[in-house]
Amino acid sequence: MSLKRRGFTLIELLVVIAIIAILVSLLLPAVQQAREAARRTQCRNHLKQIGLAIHNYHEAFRTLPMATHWAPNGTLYSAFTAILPYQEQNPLYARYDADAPSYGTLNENVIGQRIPVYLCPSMVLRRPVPDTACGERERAPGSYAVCTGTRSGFGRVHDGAIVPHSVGPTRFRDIRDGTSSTFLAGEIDYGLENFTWSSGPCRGAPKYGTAVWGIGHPGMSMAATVGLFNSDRLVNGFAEYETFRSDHPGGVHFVMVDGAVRFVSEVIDDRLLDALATRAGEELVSGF
Amino acid sequence: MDDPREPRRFIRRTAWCAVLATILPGCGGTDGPERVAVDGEVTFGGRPVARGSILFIPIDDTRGPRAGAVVEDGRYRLPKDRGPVIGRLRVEIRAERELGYDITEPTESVKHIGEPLPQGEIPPRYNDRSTLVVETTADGENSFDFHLPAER
Repeated sequence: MSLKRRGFTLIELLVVIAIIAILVSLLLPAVQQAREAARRTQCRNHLKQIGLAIHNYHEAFRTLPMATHWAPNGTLYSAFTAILPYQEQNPLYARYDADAPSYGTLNENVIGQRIPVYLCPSMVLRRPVPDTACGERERAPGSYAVCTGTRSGFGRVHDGAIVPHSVGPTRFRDIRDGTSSTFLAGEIDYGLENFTWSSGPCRGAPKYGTAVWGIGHPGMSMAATVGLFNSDRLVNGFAEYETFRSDHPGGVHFVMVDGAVRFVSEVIDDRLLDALATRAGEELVSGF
Repeated sequence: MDDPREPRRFIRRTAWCAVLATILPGCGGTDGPERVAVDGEVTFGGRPVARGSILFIPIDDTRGPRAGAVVEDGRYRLPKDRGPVIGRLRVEIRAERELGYDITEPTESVKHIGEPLPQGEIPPRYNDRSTLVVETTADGENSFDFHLPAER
């Protein structure tokens, strides 16, 4: 007599389920990595577009755009506003009043526009931008900043490729360190955990960052290598606030003056990073 | 394929492969230079520095990123993953600088353009022109106390 029934034992089922679980657990991180890789590719492409637009600007005006109109009660005219016509944003550029402050009410409807090319898909907005409930005026976030050099953008010395009008404008011929080894622009984000609102109704609450494409201001559309590179917190006053950082794991993307987009690891040597940020520091740069 | 043990052997082999495939990606070192955890005390003129920062900047043949920590109530601590690299490092120590306005808000910062940023109570000889040097080691204590005299 044969009582043997066709089917699976409990052990067999458990083994199958276990194997499937292992395979899925292997697959899920891979899927997440593939998604991040796709976002990175798009982010790199945006930097490439910004690099090309700046080249087209140079072609037209024979100078690089200036980082800001930086003077007492200056207009803080952003380099990203200056290159709008070369991003196929002519109608927006036409509405911008260059004589009025970029942060004022007259230009709110322009700098309040979110422009996809100025946003990195990997960047996480950890708070609403603008946060009107906290008293922030109309402005759209950005993920990129021009490189003003190794020193604070609030100071008087600007040794990078794109500089405020007080020392500018720069031209390609001023990039004496070589256009392939000088940063043109890089990434910035909303990732500073201990950066808080210092006044207003949200005083003390996390502010994370102020990256905005339309205002020529350190930490908004200008950055340098003055603080800890790719930091997720403020350490040395506001140095990290105006230092390049990103939401990608392990480093930050840059577009070099020659238009090449490079990923710079956060463990890069300190002096090499500063050498790449200067336009005419005459440092030796080998492989990064 | 007549051997009745064949499918079982196949299952066992597959299981081993799956286990190896899960474990092996965890192998391999981390990128970049080796870092160490550091900690210590900071006083200026005999009093602990209430709020400030400390930076460790590679010099000479030391290669790697700079590291920094917040100084709070005269103490600082950096875990290994954010710590300085091994070798000779220049140390910069700053006290918190009170600005009196919001430097991150253009409507306020634009009124103060051109003003030098305040120095804080610790003079440039311990930060911008610092000559403080420490040497971190892979298997040492890596505790560095700084008792900075207020007078030269």
